[in-house]
Amino acid sequence: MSKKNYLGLKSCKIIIYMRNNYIILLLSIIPIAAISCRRESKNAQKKLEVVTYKEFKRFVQKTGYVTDAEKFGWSIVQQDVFNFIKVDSAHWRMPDGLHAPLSENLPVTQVSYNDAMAYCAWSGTELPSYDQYWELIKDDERVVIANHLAPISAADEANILGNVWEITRTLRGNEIRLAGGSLFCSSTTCHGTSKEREVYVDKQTGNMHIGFAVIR
Amino acid sequence: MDETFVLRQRLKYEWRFFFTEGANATRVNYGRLRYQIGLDIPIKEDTESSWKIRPSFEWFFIRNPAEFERFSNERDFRLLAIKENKNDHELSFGFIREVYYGLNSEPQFGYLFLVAYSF
Repeated sequence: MSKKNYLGLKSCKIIIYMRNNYIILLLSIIPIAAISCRRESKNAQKKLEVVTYKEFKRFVQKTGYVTDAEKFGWSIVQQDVFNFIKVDSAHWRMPDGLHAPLSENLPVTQVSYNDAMAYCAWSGTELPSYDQYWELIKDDERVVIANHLAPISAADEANILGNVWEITRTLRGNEIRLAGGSLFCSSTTCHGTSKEREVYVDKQTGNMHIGFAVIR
Repeated sequence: MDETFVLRQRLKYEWRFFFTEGANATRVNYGRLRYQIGLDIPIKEDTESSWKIRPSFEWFFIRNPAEFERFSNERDFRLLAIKENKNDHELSFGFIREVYYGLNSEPQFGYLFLVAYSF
């Protein structure tokens, strides 16, 4: 239905007023034209934004949400392109199992597809499909952190491409497709920063180099 | 304000029409200005919905108060409890305490309870 119109108000409202001796029923409708106007303008401004540790922390504080890695009690910590180890107590608060992230502006990692979807439901945002991801990052001109150029960088200082893999809502059976590659990727290794690369993980998987971005 | 509270202000202009039938049929129309200020105080939030309390004051201004005694210089205090679902639908309920001035300028009080559903 209508959601909000361009003034940020709800489009339809039913109100029942009760006084001592009478009841008033009021129905207000704001024209559909106004709603369409806002929808068009919203579509024109679609933007992909990496979810940071700070934003995810707020979500957890507000909702008490527990991530898949916290439920399992362990997660995967990637040492380099080819080496993955299982680390107890690795989860979004301690991505390597030992330390908290150095900055709250880093992309949140050690989150799964399930965690990303819960965040989206709470924040009223959505995960991009794989194709949407590539469409929405094409104008990002910030430096691409890949090929071991730097450690994981703050979300607002690096290109969305590279840095950490992003979870998308594109499915293959029970697996979801990752996009964008991480700082380990290069043309000679995992090719993650190229659109043709196909990497799938299951819906519970977290990794120190997997985060997510949402469409706002 | 910090992120816990949201200060809300609303300025609205309304054009009102009244039609009555019968021996004393009337056709009245006039405009009035409304100004509301209040707070949104979140009290509970989970992945499906959020609850907040919204206390607010609202003033009504019309050009010729004497003509429309019931609504002239009215001031409301509203206290609403609002449940907002993630699909953007909103259920609210609460009460309104009205203060308004009749032709004799004596303040009068009214109390209303309301239930509203917005979508």
